[in-house]
Order: sequence, then C-alpha cells, then structure tokens
Amino acid sequence: MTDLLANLALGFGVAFSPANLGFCMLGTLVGTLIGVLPGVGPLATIAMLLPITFGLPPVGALIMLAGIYYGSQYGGSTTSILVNIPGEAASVVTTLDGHQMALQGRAGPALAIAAIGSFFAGCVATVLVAALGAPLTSVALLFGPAEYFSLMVLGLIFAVVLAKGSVVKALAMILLGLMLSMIGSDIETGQSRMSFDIPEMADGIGFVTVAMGVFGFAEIMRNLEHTSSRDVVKAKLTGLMPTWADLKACAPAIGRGTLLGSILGILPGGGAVIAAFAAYTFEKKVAKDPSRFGRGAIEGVAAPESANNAAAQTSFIPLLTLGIPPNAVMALMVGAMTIHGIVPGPQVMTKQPELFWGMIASMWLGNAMLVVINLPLVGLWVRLLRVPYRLLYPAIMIFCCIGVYSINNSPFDVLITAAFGLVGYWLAKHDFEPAPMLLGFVLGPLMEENLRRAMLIARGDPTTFLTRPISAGLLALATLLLVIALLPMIRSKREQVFVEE
Amino acid sequence: MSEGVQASQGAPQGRRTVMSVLAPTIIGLLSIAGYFRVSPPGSTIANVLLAAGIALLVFAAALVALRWPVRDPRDYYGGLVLFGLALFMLWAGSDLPGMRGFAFGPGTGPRIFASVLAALSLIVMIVGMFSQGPGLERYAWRGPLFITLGTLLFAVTIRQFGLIIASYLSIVTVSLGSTEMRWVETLIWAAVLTAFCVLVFPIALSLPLQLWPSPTLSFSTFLNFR
Repeated sequence: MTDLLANLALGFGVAFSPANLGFCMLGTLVGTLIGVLPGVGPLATIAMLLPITFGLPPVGALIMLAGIYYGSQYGGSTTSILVNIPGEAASVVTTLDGHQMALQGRAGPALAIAAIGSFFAGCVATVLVAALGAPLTSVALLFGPAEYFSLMVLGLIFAVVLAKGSVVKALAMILLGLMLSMIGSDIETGQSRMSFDIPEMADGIGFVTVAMGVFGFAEIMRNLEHTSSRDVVKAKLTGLMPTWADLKACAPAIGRGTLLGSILGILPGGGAVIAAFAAYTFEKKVAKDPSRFGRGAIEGVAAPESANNAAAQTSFIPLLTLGIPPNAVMALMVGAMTIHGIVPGPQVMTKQPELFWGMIASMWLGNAMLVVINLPLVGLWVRLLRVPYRLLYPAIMIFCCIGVYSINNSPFDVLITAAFGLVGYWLAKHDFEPAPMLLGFVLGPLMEENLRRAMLIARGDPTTFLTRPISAGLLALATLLLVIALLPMIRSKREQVFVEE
Repeated sequence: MSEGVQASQGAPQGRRTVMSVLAPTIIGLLSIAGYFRVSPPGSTIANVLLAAGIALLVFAAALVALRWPVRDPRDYYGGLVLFGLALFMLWAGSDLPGMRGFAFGPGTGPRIFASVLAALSLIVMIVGMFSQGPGLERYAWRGPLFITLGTLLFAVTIRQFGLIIASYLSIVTVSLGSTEMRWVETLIWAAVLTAFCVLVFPIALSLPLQLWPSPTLSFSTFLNFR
C-alpha cells in the first residue's frame, strides 16, 4: 500500500511538471476535438499525430497520446447528444437517450452527466491501473514463450468474439493481419520475406501506414458516399447542472457502468466500444421501467459514458504490464512506444517507473481537465460541427499524408497508405471488420517469435502448449469462447445487442 | 448503409453472373501460372498451387454446369479474393526455407498463416453461396478515385517539388472527391490549409520538410520519387 502511494506520488511529481501538464492538456483538447468531429476516430488521430510526438520526450509523448484517446471518448458524447451523430464508435449508444434528452431541452444535464460519469469512471480506472499494475507484472514473470503465445491467441479470440458480424470473417481478418505482418525481414535469420526485392519493403509494412489507410482513408471514402446533413440542436444550453433527482438516478448507473467498463477494458479484445454497448444493455435489463430507455432516460447516458471512459483507461493495463495490446488503439500505442525506444511489457514498470506512473497520474489529471475545460467549451464544439465535411476531409487527408511521409521521409509509405485505403474500402464493402486485422498485424511478429521459441524449447513438440498448465488454461478458455460464439443461438442474441442502435 | 445503394445482383433467388464465374476462373489460372513460376519447381507449394488452381477451374465449371447458387455475393467475392490472396502469399513466400528439424524456418510462419487463411476464406465463400445475404453494395468511384489520386500526387511530388506545391495540388485533387465541392471555395481553402501545414509541420514541429522545389529538379529525378 505504501509502495502504491509512493509510486503514485512519483507519478504525480512527473505529471505535474509544467511541460507534461501542457502535453496532457493538449492531448485531451485534441482528443475532444477529434471525438467531436464525426468520421475521425481516435485511431486515425493517434496515427496522424504520431509524427508530432517524435520530437517530444517519451513521457510527454505518451501522456499526450493517452490524452487523445480518453479525450476522444469524452468528445464523442458531445456530438452524440447534440447532433445525434456519434462522434466516434464508442458513443453510438449515447445517441439513443442523449439526443432524446437534448430534444426535450435537457442537453445541459445530459452533457454534464456524461462529464461527471466519465470523470468518476476515470478516477476509478486510474486507481485500478495503479493497483493492478504491480501484481500483473509479477504474473508476467511466470510467463514463458508458450504462455505468451496462448495469451495472444486468447486475446485474438476475444477480439473475434466481441467483434460484430460473422465470427469466421473476423477470424479471417486476423489471419490476414498476421500474414501481412510476416512481410519484411525474418527476426531470427534476417532473411527478407515476401518483399519482392523492393528495398522499402525490406523492413516490412509500417503499422501506421496500414492503420491510417484502413481506418483513415477508407473511412473518408465511405463518408463521401452519402452527403451528410447535420442538424445541430439549436436549443439554448441553459441549466447545465443536473438536478439532485438526476444525480440520484444516475449514481448507481455510473457505478455499474464503471465496473463493467473496467472489466471489459482489461480483457483482451475488449475496449471502449463494447463496454459502452454492454453497459447500456445491462442498464436496460436492471431498470424498473425499461421502456423509458430510448426516450431520454438519463441512466442511458450515464452508464455507457462511464463505461467507455473506464474501458479506455483500463485497456492500458495489459499493454503496460504484459506488453500485449488488447485492442487496435493500444496496438497503435505499441507503435508509439517502440518509436520512442520503449518496449512495452513488464519491464516498463521497473526500468522506467517515472514513465509508467507518470502516465497513470496524468490520466487522472487529464480526466479532471476534461471536466473543467470542456463544459465551457461546448459552444465552441457546436460551432465546429457546422464546418461542412467537404472542407473537413481534405484537411484530414493532407495531415495524414504529411504524417505518414514524415515517419520515414518516405514517399513509398504514402503509396502504401493509399493502397491500404482502397483495401479498407473493399473490406468494408464486403463486411469485413478491419479492427481484428490490425490487432493481428501488431501481434503477428510477437506471436511468431513466441511460437518459434516455445517449439524450440519443447524440441518440436507441439503438445507443450497443452502440458504447461497456464498455457493450457488460456487455450481452453479461448476454445470455450470460440465455441460459445459459434453456437448459433447465442450468436443471434449477440447480433441483437449490436442491432439496437 | 444508406438506402438505395443496393445493387440488384443479390436478387433473392441467388443469381449467377458472368463475374461470379469469371472471378474463380481468373484466380485459378493465376494460381496455375504460379505453379510454373515457383523458384524450386516441384516443391510442395508448387503442387498446392497447381491443385488449388485446378480446383478453382473445376469449381467455376461446376458453377455453370450444376447451377450452383451465389446467394450472398458479398461473402462469396470476399472469401474468393482472400483465398486468392492466401495463394499469392504462399507463392510469394515459396523461396523461403521451411522447417529445419524441429526449428521453424523463415518460411514456416507465413505458410501456417496463409494456409489457415485459405481454409477460413473458403468457409466464408461457401457459406456465402448458400446463405441469403444483403447483396453487394454499389461501389462509388468518385471518392476513392480522387482520394487515391491526391495521395499518389502527394507521394510523387513531395520530394522534388516541396511541401507547398505538393500539399496544394493534393488538397485540390482530394477535394474533387466530394460531389459538393465548389471550385472557388476549394482553391481558397487549399491555400489556407497549405499555409497551416507549413506553419505546423516544418516550422512549429521542425520536421525536415522541404518547402519549395529543389534546385536540382529534372525529369529523371522526378520519376525516381523514392
């Protein structure tokens, strides 16, 4: 316990330095902006802004990137409530009741409760990250290559089970990602693989180029297909503060949302989007009068908003302790850390305590800033929403181009991004989810390395994955999950959850 | 997706189109061509490619002869293309050494992943033939075309012409992708954005980006944009 306090004190010392406060503020502001603008997700933004962080110290860079992530979860709710367009995927459910509240002239309380819920969830999640960090790191020490491999299999299966749509297609996407990650030089022998003698391909395809193409460019192509019309709620934002009755109704919902979000965030394959959906569904189940939902129930805003914020933060736990990214955004954080010469994993905590704890402390600070900064800024965000998409997307495109180019000063990377934009567009047209592919792409080299090592240690005996207890347990869990997901009855239920939009 | 973009290809009865026969034929022929271009001829991969190619051709024939349905073209083409991609990756990695005793070689991982992908994509494809689906979505050409074109333009010009010209050209090209674009507005907006990019990236963030065309600009350096 004293250790925890001492560590947190160290973290706050780092986070409170003027420079880091500035990065944190900048990150949350940019994150909110991104969250507010529909069609620009946190993933594309982090990819876009990676080059900006090159010149920063690693702590500052990661604080800023983390701020963008949870800031965007928060900003998404503003758009959902005011315009009925989710700013990003995690706030889809917030549109259901949030926009109804806005139509009833209660946009103020809806925004405030989203902020309060997010802040509470952020606080709890920060403590959770701090508390679970150390024990999980010691668990990581028990892990050999076989266990790591099985854990990654479990993570990927989780991603498949929780992704929407067909399980087989999500699996195929993961395999596609794994296969693409094999391009480039082999880790052990250094032989170049499937690079067609193109020197730029010798190091493989960059993660950012794939992410930016599949998520950024493809998303824009799809958005351009239908002309957007936005009707921002014109209602005056009076009476920002919720009443006592509102607060009382929300308190348990916030608690439940936080709990659910925290759990789903830690689990590999989870993340903010699923947490928000799950919290909303759960809230509807436990409500005395479920028919109020969809007609402006304040719990329907409080629970998912708390859940997505909690999940956004707890998803840092597996990344920082085990070095395994649980979702696509965290996968990008791996990219960011590697660029700064940090190998994510258990050793981050012991070797770079100021980075680990500084980041955790900054999350709490960032959440506090979000509440303080954003409520007064709502008017500004609303005005920003009136910028038409035809002006917005060229700006996004050019930032992406410059961003990709400046990573390696390589025009070839820009070409690859353009190609992956078309690939992403095609995938979307055929109902393939790009997120599992990206996760597979990041985990690919790690999986191959651990698989090879495990096989080598076991002298070529593949049963090693089943005879080592931890590994066997993880694989059993993965199989169980897959079987459950493939059972048609449960599958149809699962689709219901996602159809409720 | 928005209404009215559904094409008629996914008609409820599951119609075969010329495309649905042509696609497996082409992929099959490519696979057989791959058999002749594998670096150590007669290896397992070569045989796999030959077998898969012949199987695809037989399948295409059966599609016509036995009147098999294609009920969900979205999954049918999706699975088919991924299957082709898996074969392509097998071919591309065929020069890599495989297992050495019980140690993995550089080629083992790619082969495992490509094989599993091939199996999964076949499932997707076959399920797509027999279960009803929503039908193909229409592809838009304008957005993808101009966005890709604008990006390519940026890639080709950034080295030789510098950030200002590259960004301006790219922004204008990309803007053409929207049906709502207006020329005057776009030209002004592109100038504003270019100025903003110049202020942010090379100046505020001091990224090493050249602003103006390089003095050594010539046609040969222009083409060598790497």
